[in-house]
Amino acid sequence: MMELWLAFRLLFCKKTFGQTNIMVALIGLVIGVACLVVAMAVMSGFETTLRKSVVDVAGHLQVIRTGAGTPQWDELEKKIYEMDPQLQASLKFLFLEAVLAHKGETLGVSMEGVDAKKWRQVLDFSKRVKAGSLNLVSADEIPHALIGEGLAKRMGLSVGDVFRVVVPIADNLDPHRFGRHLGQFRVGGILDYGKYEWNERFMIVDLQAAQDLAKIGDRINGLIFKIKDLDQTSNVYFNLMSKLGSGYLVRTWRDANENLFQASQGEKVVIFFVVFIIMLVAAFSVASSFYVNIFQRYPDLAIFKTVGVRPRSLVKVYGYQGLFLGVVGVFFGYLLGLSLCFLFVWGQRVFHLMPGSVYKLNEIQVEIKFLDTIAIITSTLVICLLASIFPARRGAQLNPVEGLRYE
Amino acid sequence: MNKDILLKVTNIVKSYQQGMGELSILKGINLDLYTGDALSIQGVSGAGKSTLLHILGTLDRPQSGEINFDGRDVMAMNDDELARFRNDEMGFVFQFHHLIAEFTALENVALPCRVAGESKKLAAHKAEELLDILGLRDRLEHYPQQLSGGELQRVAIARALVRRPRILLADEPTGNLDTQNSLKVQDLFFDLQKRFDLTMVIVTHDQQFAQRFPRKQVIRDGVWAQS
Repeated sequence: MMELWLAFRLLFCKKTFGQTNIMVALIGLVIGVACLVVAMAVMSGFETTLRKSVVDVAGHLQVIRTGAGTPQWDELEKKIYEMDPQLQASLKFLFLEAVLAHKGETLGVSMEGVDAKKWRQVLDFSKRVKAGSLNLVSADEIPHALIGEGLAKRMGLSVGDVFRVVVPIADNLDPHRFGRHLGQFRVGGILDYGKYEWNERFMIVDLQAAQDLAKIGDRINGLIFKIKDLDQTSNVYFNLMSKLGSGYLVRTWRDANENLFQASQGEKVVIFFVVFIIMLVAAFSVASSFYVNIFQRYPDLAIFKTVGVRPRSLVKVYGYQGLFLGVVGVFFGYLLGLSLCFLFVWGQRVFHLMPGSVYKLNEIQVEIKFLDTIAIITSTLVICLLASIFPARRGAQLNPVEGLRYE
Repeated sequence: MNKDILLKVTNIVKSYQQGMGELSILKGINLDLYTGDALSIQGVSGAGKSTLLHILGTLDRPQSGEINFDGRDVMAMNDDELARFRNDEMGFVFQFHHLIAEFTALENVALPCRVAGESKKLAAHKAEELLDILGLRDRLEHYPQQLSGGELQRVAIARALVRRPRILLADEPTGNLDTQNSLKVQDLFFDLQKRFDLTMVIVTHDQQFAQRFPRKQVIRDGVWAQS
């Protein structure tokens, strides 16, 4: 591997590092890679954080009655289980729009009633408790509610506080008239629901308590299902849609936030290419350094050719140098990128860098995906290889007699 | 003469584009070089001496003519084959040493062996042996900037000979040296020629050096001058 030996022997010397701006080009590469790492990690983290919070709070899949009449939910639940083996657990739920009143303040809230005995099999709030507990069952006659941390802060509620809730229910005979049903709940736990709008306006209560408040007997909106393999959600969705027929709406965790997920994925691709411009600038800098280096080395290249170095070997020599710069750029770029990611995570907690009202999430994690890593490494190495090969081809075409005239 | 023809050059023509016209440098040069020959080529500046040497060394291609080396048609070789050919058969010494500034004397001399694919150890051994013969044993790890003019040229000669080529081509090898060093290098060329049974072609302006060669040619206006 004469070419490899020559590449490294010529790279680490004054003429290369001292007399060209190759160090500047390398720094440009490091910054470019770091920017790509941070951009991809944040975008992937945004998507993952959003998905996790949606899945934790809304479940994997919901079946909602949209047609007329009230089905026998227990029987229907059994039938649905038979429709797809991927279904693992289920939960009845009732969704209510309500007005919360506390200490003279009122606020429109969303209330979800879930079966207090089964809900932990389907929804996962274990890592979301900020205060209190996840206990929905009350020891006294005032039922418990798990409220979002934004809601608690806004209404001045703490664990153990009692607040009032008013639910407007349309009159059975005249849908233009509403009756008011009033109830009270005790704050059992304060949760970080993940999404900003949930934290600000969402609460979970026992299904029985919600039904009692709305005075609707045992009526529910539908069932929330947990699926064994989350990646199979689409298949289960199509399966249930075809078998349930009309009168039922099947919603997956993705449906409610489809726009966000699509935008996130689209933005990720766009951001990759925008940030990649930094890499292109760095690559031009690498190419320019190699052109200068080759020009300075005309006599050396002439001697290499004189002693028998083949033109394609010269291209390889500079190609290896370009690849080496790419590897160094990727390595230090990743180190810098990961450091910036940690700084970003820390900064979110300390300085609240992410306004939830704008980005929907109060805090996002960063995630380095394998495919992103492959894309960053491959694109960096390819661009460095190209940036070195074009100048190298010029050097390889040099007539040795021309080179020997330089001195 | 019982010796075989090593290099046969027939009707070499070389010209360069100059503005709208052509500048004719070599106008039909013929040359037969036998194994072990030592030939000096003289001529005024611009006569075509160096151009001929470059063509003999396959560093440049003529417009027409034939070059045959030990039965092989050199003109038919592609760039890769020529590179291999130069590495195996030719040694070059120039007026300026053209050593790689970042390489030590040992590395500069070992370079052609590394290009030939020899291991670092073997290449270094061969280079060390040759530098020892040339009296540079204590200069192995010196860089070009740490060597004198005479030492630099001796390292360049070692680099030219490390692959044991059959032909040594030198273009004004003493042109950059003082008289004392020039004489030393001249002696060295003849010693090495005997030691390695070299065929040697040297282009020089130095009349005294040229006269020491058994074969002498003068080039004038692109053709051999009648001696």
